[in-house]
Amino acid sequence: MLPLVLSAIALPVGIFLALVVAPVEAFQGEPYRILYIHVPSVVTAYVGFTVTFVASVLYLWRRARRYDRLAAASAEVGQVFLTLVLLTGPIWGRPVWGAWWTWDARLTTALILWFIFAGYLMLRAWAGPQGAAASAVVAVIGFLDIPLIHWSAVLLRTLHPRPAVFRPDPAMPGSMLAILLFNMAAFILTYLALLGVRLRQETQRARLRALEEAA
Amino acid sequence: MRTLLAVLRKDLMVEGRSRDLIPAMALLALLLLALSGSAGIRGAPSSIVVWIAVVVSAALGLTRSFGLETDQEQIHGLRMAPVDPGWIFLGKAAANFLLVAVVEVLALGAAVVFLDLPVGGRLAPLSGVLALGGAAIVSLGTLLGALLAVTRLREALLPLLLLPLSAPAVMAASGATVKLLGTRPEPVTGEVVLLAAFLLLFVALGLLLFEYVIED
Repeated sequence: MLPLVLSAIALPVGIFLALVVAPVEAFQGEPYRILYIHVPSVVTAYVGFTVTFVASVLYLWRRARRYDRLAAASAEVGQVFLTLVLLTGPIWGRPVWGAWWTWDARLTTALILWFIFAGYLMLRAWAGPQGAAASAVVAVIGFLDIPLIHWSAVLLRTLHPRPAVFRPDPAMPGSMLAILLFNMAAFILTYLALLGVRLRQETQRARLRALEEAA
Repeated sequence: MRTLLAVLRKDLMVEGRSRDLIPAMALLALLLLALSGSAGIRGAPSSIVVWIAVVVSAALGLTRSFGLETDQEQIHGLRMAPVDPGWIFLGKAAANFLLVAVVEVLALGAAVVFLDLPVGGRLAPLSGVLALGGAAIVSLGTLLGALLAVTRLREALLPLLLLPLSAPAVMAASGATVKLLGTRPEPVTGEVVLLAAFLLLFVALGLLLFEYVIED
């Protein structure tokens, strides 16, 4: 419950900070503000898929259903955030790069990752509870595939802005950085809130199924 | 090693008698190449079409190959055999690799005819890239095919998973093919290293996970 309440407060505050309080960027102008949604979304999506990967390894190892449910819930929420990344990117790219899409390494990786987890969620939807082990193997494969996708895309070309935050000397004024970090926290809280909701649903469904089988 | 050869021999014998897979895979690959040719795709950049034909027909073949294995419950025999499941994985992968290699040769020939693919004089390095790329796709595909068939899931999902997961291999392989066949051939070390890394990763994952894959 707590993450739900916190994220319900933090998200609108974060959007307000991004749209009104943050200073305008010197070269890109107003369109840059989409970064306050785009970057937190991508970080949250990767957090979600990392949780899915860890939960899948734990499921293969321990065979406890709760790991399977965690992997499923986290992948679903991660995919929502990755979709947000792929939608906000082109909206920013059009005015700033002059193109909706380019085959830059980060874009290519994000897009192929989206296809991989779309296949993963389809597998889960079609297979039901019998597909737990298969889904776990696909999640492990998919996650380990990420560096290879990135590497293969780098072999071709790269245009995306370099990371400005996750390095020893963030290349961003403090006022922008603070708002960006606030939004990241708000997005991750939202992820946790949605994850909690999905986990509760799946746990209840499993209990219901057990009761039906017992009856 | 004996397990590997036994599984390989069994799969080749089944294919030799039923001739189930190669014709279907070859037809699909030729069809894709012919359609691309008729749309006017020509020259070195059309290498990507060859690789798409290879990976799509591999998906078709792998679906059917593991379908045969489960239709008549042979998979139980494989699972009960007192051998290391890793060797069974390698045997299946070797058999699948031979099927894909046949399709690659046919697809390459068809690309020369339909797409004007300029292979002249570059055949040796090109066969290296074809072998490595084919092996990379097959190592992943064998794992996925077994996963979907053995757990009685919808095998129809195989292309939806194989295509995005094999994307790095397909991109590197077609990138290397374009470079080799371009007017000024460039070194393809980066692509070859990537393909080798992909192959190693999925052979390792296959050896590690095949046990879980067939136990359900």
